[in-house]
Amino acid sequence: MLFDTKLTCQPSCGCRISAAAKGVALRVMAQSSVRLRLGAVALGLCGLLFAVFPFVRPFFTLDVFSPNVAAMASGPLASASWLIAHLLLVAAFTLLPCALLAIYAALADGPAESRALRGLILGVAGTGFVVPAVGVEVFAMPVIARLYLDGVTGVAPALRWSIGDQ
Amino acid sequence: MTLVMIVGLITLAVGAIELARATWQSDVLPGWAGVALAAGLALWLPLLPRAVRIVDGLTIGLGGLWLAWAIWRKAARTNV
Repeated sequence: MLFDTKLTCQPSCGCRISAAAKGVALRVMAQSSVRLRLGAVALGLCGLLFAVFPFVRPFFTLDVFSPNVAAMASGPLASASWLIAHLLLVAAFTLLPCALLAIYAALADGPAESRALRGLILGVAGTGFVVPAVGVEVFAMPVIARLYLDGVTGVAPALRWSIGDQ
Repeated sequence: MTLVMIVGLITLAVGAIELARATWQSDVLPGWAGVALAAGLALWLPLLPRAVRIVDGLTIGLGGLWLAWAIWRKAARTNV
């Protein structure tokens, strides 16, 4: 188990534990507690970032099949609020594996450990597949939109492809 | 890009639902908090309208903070 919190030995059990072994056990328990708390902080922060994201992100009418999609989307995509919102989203998705690991760690010494492990693995794998799209939204789309607004011709198809055609 | 993202969102949703089911089976963490987090992550879809996305984000926040508080309490109980 990743975070073993059951390192207990009752005085009545008859086994003899040296002072050094007791010290090791106490240190491991303290480490587990610290790790759980760090995981809890990551989980709480991750939830907060997901909650804040839609309040910061600019929303606009989006029709990826429209020939005017670049004209409609370039303003919001090139805005500071779009960049800030998606940087917050990058942080949220970065913390998400740590958050899922914290939930698993809290459940690891219970009867649902195998199901929690399956959830952790799928959740981390899914996050890995989503993050590249977030990267495009935060690093590529604002640049393309800025080029379009500056009058550079021929970049509109790139914006359409990055939004939804590929 | 869209296909990769859809695969990721589906995989993430299944993982979050599995963690919610594990949370529900355990007595350690509040089951409804796991359900809130899983529902929020499963419905995290970029093309939904703003109102839905705000509610969805708040659901993730509620579930995440609730679970974080429960895990913090568990850590405090195991502290030495």
